Amino acid sequence: MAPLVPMSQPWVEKYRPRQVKDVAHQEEVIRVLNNTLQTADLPHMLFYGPPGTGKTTTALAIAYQLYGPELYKSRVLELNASDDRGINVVRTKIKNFAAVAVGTARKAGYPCPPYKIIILDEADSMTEDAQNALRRTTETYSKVTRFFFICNYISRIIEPLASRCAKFRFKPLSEEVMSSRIMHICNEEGLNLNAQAMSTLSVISQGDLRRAITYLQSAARLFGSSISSSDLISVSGVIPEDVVKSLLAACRSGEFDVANKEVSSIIADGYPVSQLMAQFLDVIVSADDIPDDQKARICKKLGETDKCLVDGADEYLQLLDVASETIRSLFNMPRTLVF
Amino acid sequence: MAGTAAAALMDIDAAAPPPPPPGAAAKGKAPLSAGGRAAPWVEKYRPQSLADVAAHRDIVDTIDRLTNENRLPHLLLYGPPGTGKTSTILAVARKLYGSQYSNMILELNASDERGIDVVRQQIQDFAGARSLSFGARPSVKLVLLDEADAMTKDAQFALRRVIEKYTRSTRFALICNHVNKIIPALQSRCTRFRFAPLDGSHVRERLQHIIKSEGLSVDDGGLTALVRLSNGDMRKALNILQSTHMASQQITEEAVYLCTGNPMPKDIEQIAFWLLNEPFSTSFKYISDMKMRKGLALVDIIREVTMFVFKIQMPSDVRVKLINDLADIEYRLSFACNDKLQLGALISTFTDTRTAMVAAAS
Repeated sequence: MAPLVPMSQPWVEKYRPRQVKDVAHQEEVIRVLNNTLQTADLPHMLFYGPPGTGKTTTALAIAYQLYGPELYKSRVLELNASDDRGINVVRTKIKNFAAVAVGTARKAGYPCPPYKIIILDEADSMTEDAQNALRRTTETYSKVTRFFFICNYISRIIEPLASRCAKFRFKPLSEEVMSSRIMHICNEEGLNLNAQAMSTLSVISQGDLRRAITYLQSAARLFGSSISSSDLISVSGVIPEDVVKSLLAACRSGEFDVANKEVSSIIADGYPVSQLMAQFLDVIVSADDIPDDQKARICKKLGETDKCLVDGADEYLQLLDVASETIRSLFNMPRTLVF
Repeated sequence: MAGTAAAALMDIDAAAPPPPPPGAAAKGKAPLSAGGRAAPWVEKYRPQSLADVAAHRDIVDTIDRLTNENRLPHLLLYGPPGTGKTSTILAVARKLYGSQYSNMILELNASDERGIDVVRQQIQDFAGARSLSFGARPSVKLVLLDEADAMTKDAQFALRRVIEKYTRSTRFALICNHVNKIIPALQSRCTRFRFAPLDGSHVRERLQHIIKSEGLSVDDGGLTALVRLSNGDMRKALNILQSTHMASQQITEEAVYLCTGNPMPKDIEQIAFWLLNEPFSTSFKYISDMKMRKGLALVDIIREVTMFVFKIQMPSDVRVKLINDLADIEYRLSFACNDKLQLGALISTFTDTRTAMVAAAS
């Protein structure tokens, strides 16, 4: 069946704000940057925070507002994780661009300050050697070049580099901010989204506007212009609630075989275990009939399992471990057996 | 070969601001950088002479005396970032060479080549070249190796021989953050100076000077917040000051914390209270809401709560276990683990702590 909505462009790009003031819900950051744009007095910047909160959008908007579309290409260098991130990039590409003095070209209506901008998107994926090599480069060329680092986790940026930047944290977006932005896109695209579907979209995207827009576009493409809660859930990869609850019910039985069967079923259905962990946590935390000490044991295991999965451990084994510990906790069994 | 040396010299020109007139240096004033307002304050207010360096008077005085007596040894300056290592050595160089600055200094750092070829060619060529002397006696030249801990081991071994060979005509200054990454053979040929994190009073004093120069409005709470968040790193303090000033004309404690995104001390107290007193699900909900509302990162909460933990009365073994668990959670967060799951783990460890404290009391 031909899609009802024309697939001209990803909506994430189509609706990306072009002005700093349009970036949703980052008031402190926006106020600082608007002041900066008045004076064009810019330090090195470090934008960090969860995905989909406007970090890249803000960096690009600053560059557009400073230089305008024509001068942008010669004054701004963008690099991200899909480019090379090793030390050779710092020695050649970045350093060569950073070292060149700026010309005196100006465009009417734009401040065109006398320096260039290098935007390093997903900077936390740069190798440590490359980050080390950047330390001096940022200092040496600070008169003619400003660096914008964008990352999710500030702890992955080495401290000597981070200390050379003005830091801006981008907060997760709240539901009403997401709602107003989503409603704007729905109106533009002729979509019909009810209140329940809007609430579901906010929950499953967890403050990540890019994710929300992508889900919306996927759902519109698959289901047409009327979108329901279940449509959004089916495109998002969120696990149905009854699956999570049946896992807890299996653990409550106290029988390892019952839990193992449920775990095998979940793995066979292909649900992502890291997603399941987060939803299982919600169920455990909100359960009124589980005492706090048992909740503590289970949530401690969930925290450890999270790290194991990040390190690449086997999903079946990790989920089985969580289920086993949940059984032990619910029945107050000793943590370790003595052989 | 000549081209390489010329390129290095041009790098030096680009790297170092032009030396100030002798009169300005003697007065100890910080001259304005070229470009005026366009320069970040960390560059604009970098100390230009030894008298301007904000802290480490003992180190600065020692180096100053050695310089005056023409007995400058090879130097190894190490310590955390933002503590004045590079500023000190650049000030020494300015004092030694004045207008001859660019001819007498070879400056290399980790973003330049740092392998063994650099030592064999560039450094040897520079150190071996005969220097023209206009004074009563020939001056030694200076090779400055910034961020020397990034040099390969082979390069460091080769450097050891070069240092021995050219001691008569050249002095080497190594700057690094982690001294353990410099091979012992090199360390033993240098006089070592450790630049500890700056004392709060020095940071405060320097900030007050810059606040006056820029005509800023900073209240006492704001100044205290800047000093606290800098952790002895002057560069960090200046970056925070500049970014906070761009956000609001009045620099208060709240403005500083809003700008950096660090948790406010009162918020940490509130979170610690919840962790120690509220039921699991209530604690989880309250902390999640505060994280969302104030944009707090869990890793920052854990670091601050850890400091707070030392103020609470509890048995030693309970505290040890608690600190160990907090360290584990912080470690997991540095590997991009899920914030929500790690928050669950955080509340778990405090729930266990409560149980242990109650058991110890009875």
